Amino acid sequence: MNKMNKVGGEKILSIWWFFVLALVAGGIALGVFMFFSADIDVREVESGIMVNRVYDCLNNNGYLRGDVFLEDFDLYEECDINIDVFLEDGAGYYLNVSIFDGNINLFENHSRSEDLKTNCVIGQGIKTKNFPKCFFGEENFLYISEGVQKELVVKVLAVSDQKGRSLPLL
Amino acid sequence: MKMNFKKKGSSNVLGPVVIFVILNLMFFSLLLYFVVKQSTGAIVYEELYAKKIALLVDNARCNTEIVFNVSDLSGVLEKNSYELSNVFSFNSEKSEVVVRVASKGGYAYRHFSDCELSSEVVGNNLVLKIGGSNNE
Repeated sequence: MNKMNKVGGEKILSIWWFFVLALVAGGIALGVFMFFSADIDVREVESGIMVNRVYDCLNNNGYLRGDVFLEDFDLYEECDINIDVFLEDGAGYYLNVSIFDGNINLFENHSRSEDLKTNCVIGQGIKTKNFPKCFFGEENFLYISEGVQKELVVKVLAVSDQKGRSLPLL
Repeated sequence: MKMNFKKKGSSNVLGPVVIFVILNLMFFSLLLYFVVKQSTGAIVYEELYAKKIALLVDNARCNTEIVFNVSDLSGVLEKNSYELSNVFSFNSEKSEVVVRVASKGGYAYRHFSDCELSSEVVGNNLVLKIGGSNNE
């Protein structure tokens, strides 16, 4: 009799029962998620905002601001962008700003996470959901240097791969 | 000797059954909590507002005030018995916008703006105060 009960107890707590529970939980969670969750992916919008912010701060009434080529010009400081979120390990943002006079590159500033840029380019080639989203802008700016007016091309690439995080319930 | 044997046998059976029942109760209550939480839309609201505010902050210049209506949160807050004034907060260390519509949980989304942030609730409106740059 005792032996039978022992076998019963072991049966109840068998790993298969937890497997079934996990299946049930997974099924219900999947169903509820599919029903209630809205797809709120703002990474592309965020990248677009970043590009606009850079253009906004480099623009001075249609002209490129004068101090941009100075040695101590800090793009992040001047544009009120928090540099820490770009330079930390596993950063979710990437920013690349370059200014061209024809084919000559006059200015280049890019953040650390080059892999975000690479993944974004790959993500544009194939249809995928989890690759980072980027926004590329190319604008012409007037610039007066030593009394001569030039037309410079400002290229800005911004990439975002941050998905936000749910805070723990407990 | 016989009695000892019986006692040992019953405790052997009772132990696993009690653990089994407790684990099942825990499992189903967690499941129920998850379904109820999802059905109130709390998670969706938290994510929606955190992202909305983060984008607003990123898009705005420093020294700006933005007022927007958050009256659609009132239903969820009433269900969770939570105050509107506690919903929005900013983690300046992590550059995060944190939205909580219940005392536990919440959603955090990062922003890249370097402006100082604070907020105030006036009636059903959130006044988002985007202050001066942290660099200044």
